[in-house]
Amino acid sequence: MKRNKIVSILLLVAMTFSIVLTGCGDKKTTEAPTSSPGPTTQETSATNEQSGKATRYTSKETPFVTLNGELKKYESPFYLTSVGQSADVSMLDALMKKVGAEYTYNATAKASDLKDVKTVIIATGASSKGLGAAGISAEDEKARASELLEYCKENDITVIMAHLGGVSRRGKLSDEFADMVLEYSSGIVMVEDGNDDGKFTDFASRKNIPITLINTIADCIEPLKIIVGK
Amino acid sequence: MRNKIVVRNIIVFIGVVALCVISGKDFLRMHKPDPISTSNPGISEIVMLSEYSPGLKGTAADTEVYILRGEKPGGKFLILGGTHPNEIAGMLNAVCYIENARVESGTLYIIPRANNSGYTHTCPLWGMMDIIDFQLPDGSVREFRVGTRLTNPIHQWPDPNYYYGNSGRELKHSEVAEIRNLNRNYPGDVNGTLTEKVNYGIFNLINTEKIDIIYDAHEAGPEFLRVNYLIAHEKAMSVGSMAVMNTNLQGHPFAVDISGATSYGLSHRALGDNTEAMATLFETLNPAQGSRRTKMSRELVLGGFDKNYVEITNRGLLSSGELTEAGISINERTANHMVMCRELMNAFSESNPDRPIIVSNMPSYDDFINKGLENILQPINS
Repeated sequence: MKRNKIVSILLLVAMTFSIVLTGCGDKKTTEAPTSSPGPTTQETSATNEQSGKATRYTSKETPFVTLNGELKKYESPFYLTSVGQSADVSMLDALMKKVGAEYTYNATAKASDLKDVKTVIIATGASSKGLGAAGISAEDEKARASELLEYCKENDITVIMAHLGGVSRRGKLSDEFADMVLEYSSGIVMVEDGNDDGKFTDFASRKNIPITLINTIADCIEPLKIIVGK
Repeated sequence: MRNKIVVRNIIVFIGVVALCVISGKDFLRMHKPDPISTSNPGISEIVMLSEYSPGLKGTAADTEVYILRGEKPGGKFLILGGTHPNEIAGMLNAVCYIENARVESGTLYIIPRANNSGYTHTCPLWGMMDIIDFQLPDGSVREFRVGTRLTNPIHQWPDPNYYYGNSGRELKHSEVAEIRNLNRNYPGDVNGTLTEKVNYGIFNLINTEKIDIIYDAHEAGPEFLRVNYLIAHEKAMSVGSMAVMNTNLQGHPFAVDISGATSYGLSHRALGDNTEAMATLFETLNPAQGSRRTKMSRELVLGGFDKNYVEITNRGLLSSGELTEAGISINERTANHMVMCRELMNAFSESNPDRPIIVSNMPSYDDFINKGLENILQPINS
């Protein structure tokens, strides 16, 4: 009997302790469980690999910088397309509208669409969602890009690569798309966050083509005005 | 000896009843709606969602639809708050529009508590806050329930072992609770589960009223990769990108991404696919929703400060949702939603000059930050 009482008292103390523990904190709060469901940290590698960071050229005070030459007006008519189908092409479309550019926009343009075009601005960056929405695979996209870029080369159409997505548009597939376009590019315009490892400035330096680094996407307005002559 | 046992049992019984009464009061409070001020002369009409989904009538999931019509015709904009009730900035944005906006042209349809049943409970073992409050300049206090992201199981039970509804989303194993997630079951079913009836009501409202743009307001924890992103259906990409660009030009570094083709049942996919409307969804950062947060507190929910996430940010372990010592207050999160809504209306008007959506009298971003929600929310009409 006495042992039962001791067990009951111990149980009561344990329960009280548990209630106090879960009820502690603010009046209407409880402690979060360590195993509570929720999203997990992903894609941290880009920010973890900062030891090999490239020199930063832009800042709030210096919103854009052109290396290896000067930013210049390119010849119209302009065409805007994507390689990789990320939403960055849509942002570039909004920017082009903002600066009052005259251009044709088709994110999935084919070589045959570029008749009479003088300058193609290509927003690079892979998006599985974008590819899915367009109903094409990464391989289809590469084939389209290859055909388009070869057409540009054969018809003296200037290619400008635009990389506006920063670090979120770096990675294996995004870099594969960017590499395809870089080989045909006469100029690069990019948000500098995407050049943390110096990939694009190194390429521009090797090929001696101008690269315009931009602090934030909102700072694209002025460089675009120069490119389209507005 | 026997009398002693009887007395002891009676004391224990009374103690248990007392505990039930005390805790029951808290549970019952969650079923009491938080009033919304209707003193704004810009409010034209308040209808119930059951007008668009009759099966909701008389249920805990039926919810108010506030309609603010402009004097001039124009586009129609639907603001959804409380799709996930614990994502509080979305609901507060909707309430701020209801209580302050004047529509000059076009029409606003606002559902502040899209999943009304979700406001009647919190998620067990998640350590959530149940109620937040704001003291207004007149001394009155506005209370808002926090709720949780799913319909209350006392309103929709049991969850099936397997479900494959008309959203195209297959639910099995641990996913079956998502049958009570409003943002997994669009376009809904007029004869389906309670949640699907809400989905159907919103879907039917969009079709019946010929809504042009849908804005589904959400919040997410810091680990979520699309914090401060507008997710837009392909039909909404042009207007969405223009809106996001304008927010960037105003100093708000938001981004846009396209809705995934397989985001079955989510508003930005399913409502975009099944209606004529441009479907968008925006996520603000709410550290209280992160799984690595510290103890739940008022400072965390309203101040948006969490030392764990500041530390995680400082170690460079986040690629989205970075948090500084300044935190991200409920004022700022609600302001971000307000700005995104405003810029979507502006971008729509720019693209459709014959059907503009023009809204005035909304506090500015700086008003939200400097004056706070306590000066933007209106006292409740007596």
